[in-house]
Amino acid sequence: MSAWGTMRRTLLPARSAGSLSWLAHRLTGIALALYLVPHFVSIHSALGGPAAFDRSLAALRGPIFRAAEYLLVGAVAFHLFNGLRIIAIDFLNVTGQQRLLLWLALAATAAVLAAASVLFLPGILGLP
Amino acid sequence: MEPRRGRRTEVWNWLLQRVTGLFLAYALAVHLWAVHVVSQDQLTWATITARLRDGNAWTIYYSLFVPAVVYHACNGLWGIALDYGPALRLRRWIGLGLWGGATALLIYGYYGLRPLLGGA
Repeated sequence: MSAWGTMRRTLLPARSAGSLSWLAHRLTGIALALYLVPHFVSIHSALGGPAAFDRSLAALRGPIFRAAEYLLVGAVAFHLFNGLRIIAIDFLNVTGQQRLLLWLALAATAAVLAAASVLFLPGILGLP
Repeated sequence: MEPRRGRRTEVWNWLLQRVTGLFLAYALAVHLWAVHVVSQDQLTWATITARLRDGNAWTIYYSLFVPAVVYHACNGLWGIALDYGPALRLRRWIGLGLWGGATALLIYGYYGLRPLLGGA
């Protein structure tokens, strides 16, 4: 098998909705785990006192950071709702409802993103 | 690692991943709501400390939230690493790096939060 084929099979064992959600759960999980480090570094500026902390927060208010935060909220929402779906499948007798639960997780993620866009889009677009 | 003990640890990690996941579903919703909706992104030292020092509830919340999120993240990465079946020697190094990194991140996180919570 080619290197590309091996990589594709490793990342996406089957071309199905379940397999895609498994991959998306992993990717959002890795992204969120990595995000913890800069997030903690940012909070750590509190050790420098109020002025240093406020400067650190002010640096994160530009459109690029707002767009990144919006994507982060989307990643949290998908990981959260898909995680609840996984827990439901693990502990409740709902294996037959996997597809419905996946659609519910995606709908809940879309709802969070739609609501969050009201808060984030003005900042991303540089509107007052 | 002795196989039986390793399997037992994996079962505990599997269970704790779900327990922390359930808790984080609540804790992250509270965190995002407090930061982006209540504070309307007007985050400053003054607004954050006013919230966090308003009673002991936020101290208790962060005492649970920080270890839960660090454990969940580290255990998730550990589970992904194990899925690819690393050799025992590599597995030990990955484990050492991940759990050592998680412990360091936990201490670092608490240390950074203390001034906001009113600690010296």
